[in-house]
Amino acid sequence: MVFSSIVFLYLYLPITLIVYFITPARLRNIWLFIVNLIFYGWGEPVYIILMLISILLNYVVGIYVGKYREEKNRTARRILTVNIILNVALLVFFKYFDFLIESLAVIPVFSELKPLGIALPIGISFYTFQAMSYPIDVYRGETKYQKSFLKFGTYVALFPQLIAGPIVRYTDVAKSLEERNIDATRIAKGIRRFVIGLGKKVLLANNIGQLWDVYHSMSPEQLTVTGAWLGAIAFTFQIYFDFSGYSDMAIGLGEMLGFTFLENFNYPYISKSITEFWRRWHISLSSWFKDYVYIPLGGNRKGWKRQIINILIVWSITGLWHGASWNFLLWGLYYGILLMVEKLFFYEKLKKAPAWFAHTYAMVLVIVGWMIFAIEDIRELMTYLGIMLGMGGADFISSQAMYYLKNYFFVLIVLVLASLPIGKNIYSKIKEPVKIVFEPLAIALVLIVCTAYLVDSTYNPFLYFRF
Amino acid sequence: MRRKSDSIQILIFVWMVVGFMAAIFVIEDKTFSEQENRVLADMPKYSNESLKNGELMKEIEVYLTDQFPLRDTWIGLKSRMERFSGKTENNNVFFAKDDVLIKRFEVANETLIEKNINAINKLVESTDIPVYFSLIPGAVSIWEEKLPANAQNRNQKEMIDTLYSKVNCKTVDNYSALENHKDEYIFYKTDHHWTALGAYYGYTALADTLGFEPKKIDDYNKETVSEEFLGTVYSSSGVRWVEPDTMSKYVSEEGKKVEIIVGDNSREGVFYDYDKLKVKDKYAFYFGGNTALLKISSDSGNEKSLLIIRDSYSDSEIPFLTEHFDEIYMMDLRYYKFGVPYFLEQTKVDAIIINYSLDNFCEDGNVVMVGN
Repeated sequence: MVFSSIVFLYLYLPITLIVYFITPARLRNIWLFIVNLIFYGWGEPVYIILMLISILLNYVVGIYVGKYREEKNRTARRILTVNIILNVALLVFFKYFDFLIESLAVIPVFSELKPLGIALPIGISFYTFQAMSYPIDVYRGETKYQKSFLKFGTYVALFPQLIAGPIVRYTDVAKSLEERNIDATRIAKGIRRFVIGLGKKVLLANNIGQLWDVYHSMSPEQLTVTGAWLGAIAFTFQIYFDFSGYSDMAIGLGEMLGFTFLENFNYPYISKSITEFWRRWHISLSSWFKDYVYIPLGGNRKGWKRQIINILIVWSITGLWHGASWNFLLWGLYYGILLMVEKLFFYEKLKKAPAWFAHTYAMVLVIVGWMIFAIEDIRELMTYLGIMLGMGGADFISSQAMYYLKNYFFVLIVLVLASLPIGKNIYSKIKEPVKIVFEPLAIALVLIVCTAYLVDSTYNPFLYFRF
Repeated sequence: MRRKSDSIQILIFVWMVVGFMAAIFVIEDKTFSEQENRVLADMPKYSNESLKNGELMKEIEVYLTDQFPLRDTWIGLKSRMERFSGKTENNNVFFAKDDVLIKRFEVANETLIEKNINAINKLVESTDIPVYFSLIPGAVSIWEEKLPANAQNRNQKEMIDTLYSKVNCKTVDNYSALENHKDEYIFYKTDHHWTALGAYYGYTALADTLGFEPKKIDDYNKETVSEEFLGTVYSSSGVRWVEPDTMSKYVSEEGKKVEIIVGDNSREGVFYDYDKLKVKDKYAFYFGGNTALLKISSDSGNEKSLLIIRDSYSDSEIPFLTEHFDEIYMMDLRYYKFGVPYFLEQTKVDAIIINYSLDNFCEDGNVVMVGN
């Protein structure tokens, strides 16, 4: 199920919340566990089993590691290692098996191999990471092990962040699994956050996404320099508002239910360097990789040669984590190399550079990066990037680019403003009595307009009679 | 700190989501949507099978959206929001000047067009009867000046010229005929068809090619039959702020006999179907809508007969032709499945006109039946 749908907003959510709040506090985890499974199984019921296996595996290993981490440290460590391998194996099989087969088939010896056509289980990349980091935390002594299967299951499958993050650490919610303080202030805050996220997704991301669709499917002869940039900027906004909107909705829903999730985005597009961008973008993912991959590999403690290798490893995996395709690997390496070069040569200089220069530098590289992310076919990607750089004799602008620029002008202005902390600053200056009236109305308005767009997306006139 | 706005916030939100949910289930289900011209989903039935393969969930989603309260109001709100945000189109329909709604013209399938053209040439080769090919442009090109600046479309004029150059038969210049009168009410503002007046100009172009003298527009007794026509582009655009169209008839139905031919039998059809003016799809007023094969007999003083292979644009044009030909056959290849050669073996005609809107000609896979 996705949040931005009529079925979630007007069936799942009201029922989930109503039952949740009339249930006595000690039984709420049971209800949460049930609705989590319904949420997850909505599209692909069979994969519930896969998630349950993942939960059970890490639950059992968590208990064992927790009990024996001191007296039988070596055994616990070995079991932990096996568990990591099993988790990764599950993820690799369901997410990357076909990709590996197709890639290997290029080599004559393997040309007989056929892909299995496995449908990617929704959210597997997210919940696998959540589930497998828990026994590691237990081993490291950062948390006690969880005795209750129900509570652990509730954590892994918690519907707000189940399919698109943020990646929540067990340590961050361990207390909330036992006891949750819920009051009107928190619920209202959660509602506001959720509806704002919904608006980001439905009104901003989907809207500008249509512009990217136009340029993504355009043949290279029709592209112009301006058009290619317009398309790239459209995708840059689409992915941010889509993803951060989803995180907002997750954080808001968590708040309504009594969980606090850490922030996942912090105005990434105001960054003045690539290093800063990755501190502001998908924070839960980069910190996960730092804590569970980069540092265990030795980080920067084993000399600069080893550090370079570590950075390349981490960014290759980060790239591939986003999808089973070569362009994602390329995208990861692109950032790995950029970060290294930046750190080695000019990070300090960049700090002293004029703000407009640093912003432009960072955003141009980010936008180019998103094209590597969005265009799967490497040859198409090269053509598109070439046109952005004015190569291949493409015109600078055409009536077609003018048309789309005009149609999306207002939306683009809104997107720029929404990417900046302006709204937040204005909000903090509004006086309380004004807020009492203004706030609930604004939120209701956003919800109404979102509903109009969601209903419209199912508007399907049967125009056979148009003949 | 507890704030008053928090409770208000929670109440409004909860009332909205719970209220709409309740409304979906409490309000009696609608079975048919006129705007969308389709049957709406009804309450899904549970079965273990449908739960296991996920069908049930899909059905629930469709049910909720189909039965969502005030469905059409939301559609209208969305198109208004799009216009408000500076968009000049919605759901592939342009907001043109003078509150005219015009669908974008694109070509999805080039090979289909190639096949259609080949089928026409096959027919021309296989018969001695003269064949005329007539493509009708839409408002998207004739009323191009009304479109938003720089609106992106395939060029219809170029396309018609190219297609005409590929066929080995005479062609009809509807384009110039319509273009010369583009300031008149020749296309509907809310529908993709031409008006009866537009069809009149098409008829003069046809007369030019076939070589007969068309009647003057002033010779007809024009009658307004409806002022409440909201057509297909109105439906698909989601736009709800435009005025309805006016429909007219020029030619009198007196002395015209319409037969619906099914195999060797026939039953009576209608020249003008006044009942259709009461429903949403009012364009079916002309000849009652699509039929596989219609025969219109009249006493025009010219004993010649015509076969018109048609789409619905012909329906408002053929009344003008009935005053020049005693017998006209209207064939709809989407329903007539025997193919044109078979028809020609059974029935003698003096000329064949393939009369299509460019839009439909590029999309209809049944045109190949012309040659088979």
